[in-house]
Amino acid sequence: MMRIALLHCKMGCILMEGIVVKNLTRDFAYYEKEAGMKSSVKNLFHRTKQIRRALKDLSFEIQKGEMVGFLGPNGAGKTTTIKILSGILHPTSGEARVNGYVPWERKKEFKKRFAYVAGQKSQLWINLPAVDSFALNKSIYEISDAQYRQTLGELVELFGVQEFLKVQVRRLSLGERMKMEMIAALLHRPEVIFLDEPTIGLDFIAQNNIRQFLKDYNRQNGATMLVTSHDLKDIEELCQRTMVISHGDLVYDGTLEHIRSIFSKKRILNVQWNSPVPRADLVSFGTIKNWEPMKAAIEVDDAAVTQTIHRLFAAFSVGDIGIDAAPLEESIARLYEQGAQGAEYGKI
Amino acid sequence: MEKYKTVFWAGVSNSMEFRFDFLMNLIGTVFPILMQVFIWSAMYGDSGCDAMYGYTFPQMILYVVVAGAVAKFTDTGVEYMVNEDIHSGGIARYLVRPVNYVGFRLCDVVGNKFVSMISMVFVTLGALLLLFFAVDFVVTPAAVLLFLLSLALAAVLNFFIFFCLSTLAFWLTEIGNFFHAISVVIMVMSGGIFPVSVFGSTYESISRYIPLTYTINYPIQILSGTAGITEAVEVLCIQLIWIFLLAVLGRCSWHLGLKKYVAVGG
Repeated sequence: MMRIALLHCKMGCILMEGIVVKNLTRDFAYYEKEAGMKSSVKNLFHRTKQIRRALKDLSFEIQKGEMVGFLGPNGAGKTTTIKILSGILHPTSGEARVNGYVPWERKKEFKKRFAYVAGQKSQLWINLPAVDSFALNKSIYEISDAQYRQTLGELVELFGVQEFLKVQVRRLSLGERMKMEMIAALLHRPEVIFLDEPTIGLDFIAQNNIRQFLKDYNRQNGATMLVTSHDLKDIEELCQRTMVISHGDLVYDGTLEHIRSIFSKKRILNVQWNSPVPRADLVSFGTIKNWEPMKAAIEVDDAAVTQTIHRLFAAFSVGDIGIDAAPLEESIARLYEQGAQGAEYGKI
Repeated sequence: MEKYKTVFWAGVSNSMEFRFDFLMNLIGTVFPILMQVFIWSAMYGDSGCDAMYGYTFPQMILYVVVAGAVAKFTDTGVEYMVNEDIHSGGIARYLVRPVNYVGFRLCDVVGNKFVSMISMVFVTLGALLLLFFAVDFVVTPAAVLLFLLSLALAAVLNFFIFFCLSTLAFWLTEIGNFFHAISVVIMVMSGGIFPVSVFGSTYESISRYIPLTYTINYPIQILSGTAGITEAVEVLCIQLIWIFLLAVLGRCSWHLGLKKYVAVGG
């Protein structure tokens, strides 16, 4: 299998810009309880402490101005990583630098240089119009009047939310609210932005808006961004590079497109017939993914595509035929599974 | 400093969004006080004494009326906010921004309570005026002035008492009921319902050395003239000392809790 972008930063070379993570490990302690009343009573007196390793020796490097997607199943350690990088959690061991700062020292200078946006957590005052929250951030980040006016003007125009500025935040739709969230987070022009599911729960127009906005912001300000999302479209459109983490381990680091080519040697043939074709007649051509009397989706090996098409044309009256790549989600899912199977697979 | 001023005014505007809640709060204050007025008039009437627990009837009525108002005035509810921030993860918001959480909460709480505090002062003054006609009671302007000063300090002191308690939320997950219970105990021990002399001389002498009585009992003694000018100044100084001590304690336990929070993950 191909070796992709293994990490190479030696301890000494600490980038002043961008993000460097070296051997980051994070354990969480928890208590286990068997089902039933008996063990509840037992737990009152003695609890067995268990350790779950959320991050295992994670290392990576992100250059200034890069937009990197961070993928992984629930509980893989994405949010833990982002929380460590923004200083909300201490690692159990390992090192990290964000623009040269150790995040968990939480220096004021550092805090003024980054932003943490979580789609599910709001930093706005819900009962007040968004402008009030913006004004608060202006004074918290000690932004000058001139810069505040300019940045706010730009951001508001970019999002087209002028008319909602004076509306109580709780009366805004989720999409509008998320835009306000973004504006609040970017008022101080952060150089590094951590985005935890920025488009969660939004309709596709709002999602597109947010993505376009992030792209524009990145282009204009050269900000470094780390984006987690379960929506592959977010990553596909925003990030040139994707890291996949599974069970606290980095299992992939490269382009999203490449994941597909590693795993998927399959193609899907979408065929429409001129007259009904029974399902049973198609079994010998490949795996049937979808079947209706007048059309079918057949999965075949990459190498067998041409031959299969010829055979189909010979056997049936074909109206139309299209060739699609296997869905990216399937490849990603296989990547997650491989990560789950543990160390013997090693890095891909 | 600018940022804390903004937090304060944002708190004020925030509180003004809830007019109905505010009105209910005000009404909720008046009823328990009225009940007390009836109880004490019955007790003084039956006993036939001029003074009970060192208070004449007008003084006692003044005490319970003002104590109800002061208790409401100094009650910040900060413990619930801190608890919520810690357990819902909202604390992250403050950790990633260049802002001091304790300062932020103090300004936020004071801002949020500002309007109700001002109205409480007017309600109290109104009640005093009423008492003046009803039970023949006089307060001196100097006493009123010193009282208002000690009232402001009492609110800050109370904030820090509850802030210190609220940091327990770092170690205990289910703490809401504890706050309910402890706030009643604190209210009673501070003299929020009866003057502390009702609990006997032992507690009365102990109470001089704990911060609680400086939030309600002593400020009212200043107003009622039970404490003279010199004593009043002494009370103000002790309030300042307690504020300082509890601010230091609150800060320490906040940082200790935070250390655990970032180390263990809440």
